Amino acid sequence: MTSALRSVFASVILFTPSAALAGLKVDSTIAAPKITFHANGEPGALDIDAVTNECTAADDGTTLTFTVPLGKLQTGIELRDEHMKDKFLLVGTYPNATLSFAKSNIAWPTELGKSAKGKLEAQFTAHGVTKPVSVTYDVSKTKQGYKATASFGYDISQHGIDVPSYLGVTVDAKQEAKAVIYLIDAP
Amino acid sequence: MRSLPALLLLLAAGFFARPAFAYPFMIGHGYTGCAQCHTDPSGGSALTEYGRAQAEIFMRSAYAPSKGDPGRIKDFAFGVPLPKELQLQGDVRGLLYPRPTDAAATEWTVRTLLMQADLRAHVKLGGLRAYGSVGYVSEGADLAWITSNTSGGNVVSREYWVGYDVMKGLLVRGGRLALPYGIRSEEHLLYARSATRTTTNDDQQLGLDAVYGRGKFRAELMGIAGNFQIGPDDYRERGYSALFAYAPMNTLEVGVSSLFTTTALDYEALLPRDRQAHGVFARYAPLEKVRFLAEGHVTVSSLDGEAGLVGSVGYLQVDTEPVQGLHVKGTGEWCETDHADDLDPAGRGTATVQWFFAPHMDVRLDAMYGPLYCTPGVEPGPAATAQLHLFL
Repeated sequence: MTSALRSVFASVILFTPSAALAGLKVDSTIAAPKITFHANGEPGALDIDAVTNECTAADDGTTLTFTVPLGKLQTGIELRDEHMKDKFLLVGTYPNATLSFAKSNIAWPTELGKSAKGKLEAQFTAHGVTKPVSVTYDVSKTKQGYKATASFGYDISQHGIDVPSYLGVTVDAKQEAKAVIYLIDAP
Repeated sequence: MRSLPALLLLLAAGFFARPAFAYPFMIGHGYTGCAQCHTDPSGGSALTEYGRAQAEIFMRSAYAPSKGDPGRIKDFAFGVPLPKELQLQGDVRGLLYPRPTDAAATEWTVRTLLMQADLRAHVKLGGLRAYGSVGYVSEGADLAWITSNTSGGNVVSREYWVGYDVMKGLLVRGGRLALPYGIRSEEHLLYARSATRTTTNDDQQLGLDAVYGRGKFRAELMGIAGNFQIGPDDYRERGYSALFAYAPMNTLEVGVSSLFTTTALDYEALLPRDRQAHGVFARYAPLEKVRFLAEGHVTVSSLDGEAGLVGSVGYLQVDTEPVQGLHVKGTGEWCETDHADDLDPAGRGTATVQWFFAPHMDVRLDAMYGPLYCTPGVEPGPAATAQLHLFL
């Protein structure tokens, strides 16, 4: 191999995102991650957000997996939180929700301020059931790493979760997850 | 039908009576809409079973750790089981109103009023719904009378309607309805309610209405045919009232309202009159126990074909709940009926303590400084009221 060819190879390896992202982790130093599970309901304009600031990322070099512990989800009403976790999500048995996808699905930006937007296919696991979901994402390069925002829709009935209904108020089975997460490359 | 002079005479006392419920501070708990807790999707009516549960779970003071589901005590008459198709509710509200007997305020009397003794019923069979209320007031609520006692109490019917759930989130109905305008609140003394004639005390009108609510949006449009509990027909207003509200998050709602009515003989001015009101409103809870409510409206009143008098009305209210069930509120209001005149706008400040102290019961104290009504130029003065409310 000529020295010129070796340089080209070296450059390609250096600037290939998957090579640069040896291991992405959630960075809470800038802002805590915010994960929101959003549901509408009826009757009327019922708009419920279950929010947590807990999220971890596991990166094996090819697959990125975000794990959200569900035990600290809060909707703003304590009793509703209890019902959600104990009667429907069964967090004692299924403590986490996860989202996994191939890192190569995202063209990770390398320049500060640049961003990558698009849709990717991922696997969403909740209540012990994994289903494919289509994730809309926006990843921008920051000084320390990346800021990622993402959202995807899911159907709790497909995950074996009972549709919540309490005294005539029913939550829609089709819901949406939204996330704002800062990431850093961990060596 | 009652005669107009009798009606006008008793309007002066009308500010006391008030219906129960419609608590817009519920946005602090993430409720931007009203339909989960109220049988009227825009609020201010009998409670649903869910609403009764919420009243027990986090509206009243809790003296012991929550056991979760409130059980039967939330139900009609503290535990009478009803079929799920039927909601019944009784409301009794009394008021004490101390006031001076002379200009120097050297002597005072305490006036007592039965503001409300209503029985309300809501029936839902499939998509078909019917609602009605009937009650008694010792005075006031003149525009809702169905009897004609000009010297004492009267039987009132504030609301009655039939409707059909045309599709998910959309109810079409006809009958006597509260006008969809601004923030629906039990505080009918607010200038923004009384000056626009949109209280839930007795300003309901007969008409056709479509109310929609799904997700982050709610809207209502009502065609007004008039108040058929006054007469003759010349006194009835015709027109529309509408609102649209959007909640970008479940602790913030912003909205717009619009109203236009025309009448051949306005019951206050005794002249042909066109009334308009157009404005904005917002509810915001930066913290679960701190809520802000605000409205601002432009009003236009055209008498006998003359150019309209342009005024404005609005308020800012902060509602805090230092401990569950105990509300401490402050309200600042203004009202101007004609910006072109030299009169100072009416202004009022109100401090309120309201305590939901027991199942189905609350007590409320208001201390205010300013005119009771939107009367620019009137010297402000102090006033205070105390109320006790029980619902079954």
